[in-house]
Amino acid sequence: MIAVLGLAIGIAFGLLLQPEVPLWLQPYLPIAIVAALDAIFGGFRALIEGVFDDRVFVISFIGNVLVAALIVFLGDQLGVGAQLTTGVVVVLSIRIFANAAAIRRRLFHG
Amino acid sequence: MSLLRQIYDEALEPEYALARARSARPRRRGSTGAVWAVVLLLFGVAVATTWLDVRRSSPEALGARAQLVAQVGEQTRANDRLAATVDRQQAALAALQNRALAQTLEGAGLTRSVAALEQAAGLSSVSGPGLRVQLSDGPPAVTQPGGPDLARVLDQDIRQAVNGLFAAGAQAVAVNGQRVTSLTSVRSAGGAVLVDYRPLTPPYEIVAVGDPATMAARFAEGADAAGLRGLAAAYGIGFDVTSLDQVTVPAATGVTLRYARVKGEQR
Repeated sequence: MIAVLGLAIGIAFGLLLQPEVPLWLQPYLPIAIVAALDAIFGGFRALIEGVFDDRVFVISFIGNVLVAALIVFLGDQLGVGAQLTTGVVVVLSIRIFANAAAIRRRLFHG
Repeated sequence: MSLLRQIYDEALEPEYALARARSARPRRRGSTGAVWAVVLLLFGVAVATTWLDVRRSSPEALGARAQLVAQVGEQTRANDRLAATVDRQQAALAALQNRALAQTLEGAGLTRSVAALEQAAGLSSVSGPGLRVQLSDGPPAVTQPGGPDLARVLDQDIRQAVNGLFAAGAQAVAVNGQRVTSLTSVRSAGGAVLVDYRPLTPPYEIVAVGDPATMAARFAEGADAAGLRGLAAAYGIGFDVTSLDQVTVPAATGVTLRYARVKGEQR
């Protein structure tokens, strides 16, 4: 409940205040969002499976976002930003789908 | 495939299980909710910001275009308003001039010659019987890929019609309501035809005041009309001449006289 409230407040905050994204941050925000989504799905799966841990969740969230952004940044510097972005998105997507499948199994098939 | 397999199997970070095994402490429900709320709040802010950013940057061009179109429309309207003001003030000036001249005998003669000169110079509107020449784009005729559309009416076609009408004895000529004087240019810029620096849209309607019978015959016999007939036959450009009992050619707006002067001499 409080989590959904947090999400709603976050979206409302973003939409209403429209914080200015610094130009250097702009290329990394989309990939950071995918990384965050991965951490969130992972955390939710852990919650359902009863192994959730605050610290691991927060660390995986921050770590995922930072590493994803770092990889894209490195790729940009080396001229392979687009390819590395694709790689990161593929890996994160697989993880997201795997976690989503596990969550679905837990929720709907006992 | 072992790499993909590993990614799939370790989708749930193994740290969760490790942390669980290391400390058998019970889950703290209160802080868990708060942690989720904070994480999802950050996530929400990022998603909303990025969404706004993407939406803002892509249709930005469209917005700018709409803004420019609105500005063009606004400026055109402002221009028309100013032209109307100029017309009104010119009429008032003419009235004052006539009144001042009418007070002397010499002045009355001057009034007549001024009126005749104004008519010839395009400073007063002229009406009477006349001709209407209509030119319109034909069905698109592009002979080679990326080539020009040959069935479009060009500035030179309009110039031809205007010259032909003057040569046939027209007193006054206007293209789409723009009076053609000795200072008027008929030219094109970027595919648009400009008469007196105003862009016109097809179909083009050139009206001329003059005796319809003789003017129509002389125009039809002239080389200019022959050229236009050739274009109509070859490319399907619409070319149509009609006699009218009553046409009105408006006065030219903003005729400025320029005087030549010796270089270096004060005006």
